[in-house]
Amino acid sequence: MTVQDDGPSHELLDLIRTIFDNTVADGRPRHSDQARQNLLKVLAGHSYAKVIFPLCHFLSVSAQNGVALYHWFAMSQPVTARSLGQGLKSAASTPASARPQTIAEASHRSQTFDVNLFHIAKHSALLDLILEIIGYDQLEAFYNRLAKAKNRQDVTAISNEISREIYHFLRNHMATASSEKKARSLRDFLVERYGADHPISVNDIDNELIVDFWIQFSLDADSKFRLYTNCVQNWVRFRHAIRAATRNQFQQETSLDALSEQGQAALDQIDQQTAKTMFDDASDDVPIGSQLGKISSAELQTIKLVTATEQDHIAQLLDFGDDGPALIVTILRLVTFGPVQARLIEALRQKKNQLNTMDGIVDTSAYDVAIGQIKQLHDTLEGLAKAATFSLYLARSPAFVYAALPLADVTEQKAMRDVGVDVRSRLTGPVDEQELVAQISATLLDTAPDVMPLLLHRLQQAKKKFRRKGLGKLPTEDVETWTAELANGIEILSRLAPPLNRLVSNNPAITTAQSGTPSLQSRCIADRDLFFDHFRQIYGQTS
Amino acid sequence: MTHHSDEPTIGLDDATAHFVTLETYHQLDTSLAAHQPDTVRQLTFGDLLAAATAPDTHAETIAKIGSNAKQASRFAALLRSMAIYTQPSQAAAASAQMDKRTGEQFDLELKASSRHDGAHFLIIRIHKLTETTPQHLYYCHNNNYNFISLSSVHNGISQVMVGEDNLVIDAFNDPAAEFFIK
Amino acid sequence: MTLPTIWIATTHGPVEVVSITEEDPDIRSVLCLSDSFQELPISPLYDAFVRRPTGLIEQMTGHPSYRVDLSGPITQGHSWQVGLTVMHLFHAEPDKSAAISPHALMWTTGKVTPKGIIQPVGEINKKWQMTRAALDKKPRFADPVLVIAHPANIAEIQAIEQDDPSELAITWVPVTSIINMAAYFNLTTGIGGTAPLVVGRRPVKRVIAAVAIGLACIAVSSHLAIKFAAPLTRLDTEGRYRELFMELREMRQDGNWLDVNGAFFFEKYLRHRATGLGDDVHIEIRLIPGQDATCAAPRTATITTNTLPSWINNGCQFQLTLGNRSDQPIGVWTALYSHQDNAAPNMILRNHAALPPKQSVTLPSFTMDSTMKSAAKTLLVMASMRPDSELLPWFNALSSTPRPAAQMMRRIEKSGTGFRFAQGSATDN
Repeated sequence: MTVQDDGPSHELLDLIRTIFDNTVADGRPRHSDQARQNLLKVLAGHSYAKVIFPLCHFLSVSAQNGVALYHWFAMSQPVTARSLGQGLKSAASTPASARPQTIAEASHRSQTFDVNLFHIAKHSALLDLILEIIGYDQLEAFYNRLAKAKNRQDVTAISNEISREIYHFLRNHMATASSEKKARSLRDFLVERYGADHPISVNDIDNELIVDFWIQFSLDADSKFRLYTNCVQNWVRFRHAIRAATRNQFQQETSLDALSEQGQAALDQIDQQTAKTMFDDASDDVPIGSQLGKISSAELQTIKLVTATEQDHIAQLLDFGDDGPALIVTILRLVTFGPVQARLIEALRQKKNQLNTMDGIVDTSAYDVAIGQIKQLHDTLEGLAKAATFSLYLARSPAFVYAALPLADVTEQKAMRDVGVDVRSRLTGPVDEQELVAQISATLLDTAPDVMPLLLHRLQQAKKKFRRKGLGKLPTEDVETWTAELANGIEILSRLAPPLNRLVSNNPAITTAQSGTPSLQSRCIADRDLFFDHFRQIYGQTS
Repeated sequence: MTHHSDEPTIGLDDATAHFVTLETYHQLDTSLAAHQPDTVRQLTFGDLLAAATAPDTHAETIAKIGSNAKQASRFAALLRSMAIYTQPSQAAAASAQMDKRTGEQFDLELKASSRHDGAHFLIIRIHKLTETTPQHLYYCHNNNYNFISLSSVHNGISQVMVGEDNLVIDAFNDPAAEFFIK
Repeated sequence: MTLPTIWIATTHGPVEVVSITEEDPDIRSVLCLSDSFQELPISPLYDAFVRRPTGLIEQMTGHPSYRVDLSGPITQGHSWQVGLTVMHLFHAEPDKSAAISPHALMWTTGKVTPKGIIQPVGEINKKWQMTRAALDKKPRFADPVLVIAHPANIAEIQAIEQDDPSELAITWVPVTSIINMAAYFNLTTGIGGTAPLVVGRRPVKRVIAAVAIGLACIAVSSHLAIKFAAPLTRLDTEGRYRELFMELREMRQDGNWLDVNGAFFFEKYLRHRATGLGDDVHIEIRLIPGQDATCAAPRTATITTNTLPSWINNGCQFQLTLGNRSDQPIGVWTALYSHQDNAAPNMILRNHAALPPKQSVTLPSFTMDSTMKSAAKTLLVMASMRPDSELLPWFNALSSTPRPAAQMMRRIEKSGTGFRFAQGSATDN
């Protein structure tokens, strides 16, 4: 069998694509965003064995309750803890009125165990991939064995067998040679710089290391690190890796064989974490970067928020994540000199020479301009959020209250809460909670000019400044979609703005008030000399 | 060398391993975004399920399944799992022609029309009816899968008229063939 | 055999009856498109129209299964029944077809009740217009058209023809029952009058009358008796007991003097046969000696009463032998089970043997566990010469309850099937 040369094979990508695109009868996606992300994480980290173990417990419960295996792959609803619970409930002889449980209880002879269906639902895409890889016939054979499993060891043995099947498949369909080679280059550089035994932290990968690395590796024509942009991306990823490792986000596979002492300890940890997961669900956030696409022009039907240029710019900045503020100089270098290098390469391809005109491309104030653009981007995001909130006010939508609360200052927030208290105090009898919320929203909308006059004024100003499609005017049709897009958009914009603000606000790297910190202009000049000089070395002088 | 004591640290090898993971994740994510599905699409479980549930509209898929031994085995397992009634392979018959195939859940009988024009009647006698109405008779013969839509069941008996070229006749006479009803 | 041209009127145009074939009785009657093997969805309705007890055609012709090929589809309704009845009448007496003009076209529509009454149907205007359009496509069609339908439907067509006359040579054949429809063509239905007992019993009535006279004269010959009971005998031979019981009940309840007595004597015959078969089965149980003190001595008992020997409760090894004392091959079903009070029976032995005349079979030995001492035992044996498809579910039902249901035992005996049972009580501790 030919081992896959590098990266995921077409067959694996086809399988994953099919799994991701899978929908249920009414067209909703079968798997949540989180389940899809988890599949990629688990494959990337080769940590599937630790997920297969609880999955096998779930399958064991299901088999013991007499549920046919194919039922889980032919569900008419998206896979959630609730729908999994309903599937188990309909098979077991529980009263019809009983609510489907999201913690399934089962037993193996004298051993009892719980299966957290939230955890299972979060890995539903992996279960589908297992089915595709090992096939329904073989999975059913495992399933029938799980039905008769007498103790935890039996389940563990089956879990290990399944893990080995997945391992063999991925060995042939997801080679990581290029990633490992890249990693070795970065690692060797760190060893060279800090020594082999140096315990690494994120701060060890700073602006100077990145540029030094680029300078060292870019002269080699065959190097993957010729582009400064590539170097930056990889080192930012290395910083993320350090953060993830210290947070234990991507667990590395230590042992496929859970029957060893090491494996058993890992399994005990899984059990604890799986039980804990239920309480951590609320904190499972979807990365903000993946939310950006949802407010793009292509996604929104009734309104326009960010332009394509703004979206690209934001995406580039968000890629730095929490490392943005520390690497602000790298960001400035990237946005300034990255495009220059791209133009040089394009000119080379067209056999034109741009080296002579390089000096005129980058002005000495380029860094100041870049910082200004980031600030402007931040202001735009905040302004759009306010303009959208004002649109909700004009539409008298209850969503206005939820959108306005975080935009209000402390006094205004208190005034808004007082309105809620007042409405409740005037109740004469029990009332449905949803109806109460609607009453409070209506009261706030009616009294907004009195309760939050300054906030309203700010929102109105924003609406005047940011005249984009759908903002500030009630539509004549499809009001429901318009309201939903505004509400979701406000939430995403409100999450996007703070990271941009952190890049440039009170950032010591660019605050020239501190002694020893060069001004942006002088830094720009120094970097320009450095980069242009190196570009000449890479791409040669013209005659 | 910079070192801030307030930042957590990790071994270089661990960090490198995590980098590979992140890089692989990024590679997967990017490849998925850019990937154009192959023109020769692999059969997935969803295809097998669709063929098992609604064979009338997935005849092409059933033909594809038959041409792939691995998928045929998976499809057989799925059919066995989903079938309301099954009839496994029979013991080898003394003669090539069988007129009755008996099973624990249903019997099959094949009778030629007295008109001798090639028409045959396949009579299915179900021993113990369930609430679910059977709709199709699937059969596996020489690793090929086919199906016949069933008419209504009266007193546990369903009957289908087929021509002499119908593959079910060969399957009926092959003790190794398997039959499923669902 | 050449059938006359019969068209069945439909709202999509007339459908011609292309051919009719008698099929194996195990096959359900079908309507299919000619030149294809496509069975029409209304075939179950046609089968119910043919086969007893609901069907008229089997009563007329004596055959329960047909295949009819049609030139086009019929998707719903019952108006095809008149046309197919005509077809079956001519098929039963093919020589009578010659009396019809070879080019004559029979246009039919109407519903036929189980009692043979013809009822009018709807959408006559559409059906007739579609027929005229079809005939217009036939160049220079000048053959006579016999319109066979209920008088009310014929009146509708006549009104249409009056408003917009066609050039067809129409002969009106108003019919209100299959009797007068058959009479028009000089055919016989085997059915008299309109009472249900008459439907389908024309051939039976002749032999019943002959048998009744013979019995009244005490000089009835066995050949006549067989002729009388031919339809009943056929149901009995094919093991179709449900239909047989319905037939007999109808004869007793709604039949004339001949039918009632005929049914009475047939039932007597079946009971007599059941008793005979029961006596013809030899049942022997043998204790195989073992090491245990209670099992030291060999013992044998022939089961002749409803009681099992008390030593059946010893925790020993036993063997059952079944013998056929008759001159005919019989099938024997055996079940031995234990049961505590009203709990579900615990099956010890279950077997089926096909025994040639005068042959015996010894079943594999079995051990009665000493823990079963406190449970009562029941032995059931059923013997029959007929197909077992309807008998077996009854036997299974009997052996699934601690005490055999009396009603089920009576049903088995009523079908002419031999039945024996014996019980042994639990041993007191």
